[in-house]
Amino acid sequence: MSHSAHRFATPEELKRDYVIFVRPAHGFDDVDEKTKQETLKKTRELADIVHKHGPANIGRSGAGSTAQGDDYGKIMERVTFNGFMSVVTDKQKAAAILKEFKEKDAGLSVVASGLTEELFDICRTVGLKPHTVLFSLGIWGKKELLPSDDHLKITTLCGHSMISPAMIDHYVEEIQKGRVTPEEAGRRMACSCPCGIFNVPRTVEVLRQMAAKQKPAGGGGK
Amino acid sequence: MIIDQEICTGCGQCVFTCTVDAIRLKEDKAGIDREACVECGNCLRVTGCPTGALQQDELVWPRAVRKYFSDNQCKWPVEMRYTLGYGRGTEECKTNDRTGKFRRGEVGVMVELGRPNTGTYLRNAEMIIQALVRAGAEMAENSPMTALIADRQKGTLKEGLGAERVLSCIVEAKVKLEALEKTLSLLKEVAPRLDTVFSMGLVTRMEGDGFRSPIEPVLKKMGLAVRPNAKMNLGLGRPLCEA
Repeated sequence: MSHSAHRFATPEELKRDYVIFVRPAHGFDDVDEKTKQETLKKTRELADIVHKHGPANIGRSGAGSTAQGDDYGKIMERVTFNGFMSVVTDKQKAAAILKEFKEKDAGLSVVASGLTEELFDICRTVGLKPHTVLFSLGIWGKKELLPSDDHLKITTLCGHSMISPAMIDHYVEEIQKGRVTPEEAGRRMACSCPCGIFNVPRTVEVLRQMAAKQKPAGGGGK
Repeated sequence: MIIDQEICTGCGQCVFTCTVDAIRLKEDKAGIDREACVECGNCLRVTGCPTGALQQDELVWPRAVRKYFSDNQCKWPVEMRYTLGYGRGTEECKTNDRTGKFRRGEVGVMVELGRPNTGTYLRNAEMIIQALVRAGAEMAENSPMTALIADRQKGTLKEGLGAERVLSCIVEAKVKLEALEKTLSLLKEVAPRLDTVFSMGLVTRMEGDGFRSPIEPVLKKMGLAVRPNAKMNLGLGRPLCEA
């Protein structure tokens, strides 16, 4: 599960967070060796379309991601049935990618996450018909255990919850002390999220806001 | 995970990498709270421990389950492997345009316990499973959580698992649309009794021109709202499952 339906932010902030991924279907796209090889080739071609549009991140679980500094060519060297994941930070880019996906008609499952109405609008423009949707009903249960909204805006950007509130606090402090830039902190945090779904530009925005809000006890900061 | 106290220099570089705040510095050494640790392995991957004090110890059942759920780079053992063998859940809506796992008139119920950021004991998952059993839900096949159920009628987990703690786990099931209200009522009832949170998701086939959600009237009746963002399968798979 990518957890991408549950990415936490205001609607305005979500306008800068679109996840797009391609996932071959087991038992369908790997029925024989020829189909399997064709599937892997198509996956790579679809990834190339995304890469051409300059995503904020693209990667594969276990193979690395561009946001953590890995080389795109190396990440895609040996594509597997995991498919790939990517993030773009504006609607126009998401629309351009999905338009090319439709024209390509590769026949593989494509999933997009983001603001529902904005995605519907893209679909109408591009000529896509959403097949199945995972709607989020938010967080239930013992909510008093949750960290702050600022923390959630970053931690929910990782599909496997590998970025903790403590890690965010650590980097906020490092930024305030001038030991690291928000951009470098975002890149380092992306190393904990190896799938290519982590939105570094959004993370940098939130880190900047947090660092400005909470000044360290000893003063200073950037 | 363990930290060899003989060689730990107390540099503290592993502390902030812990996903569940289980590593603390004490008397100039880093130590791991083994009860809180979910074996996600993030500390080992990210820290680059300068002395090698941070180590993955050999895990045996039932503790090993912590790692299979929490460490996305660790495969489930062969006898419990499903789809790709990694992770906490199935492909849910991701490949539904090909597989037809969720058909018209059915609703997928995706309860991700421990997300965001609280972690969870598997006993919480058992409580959710039991609520879903009472709702008459069909548990998802090929789901790691379903594989850990001992008694499907009662919704009980295999022995010893309730006390195991994971970063998150996903209870997946599906119900008929007409059973959705009852299902959500039962989940609402159990939610305050858990000692964790869960992210609540519902999967549905879209109707009409692809922009109408059949679950909307049920949610409206119950006073529930969906968040402004969602995950959608765009129907680009071929051949397309129209069911």
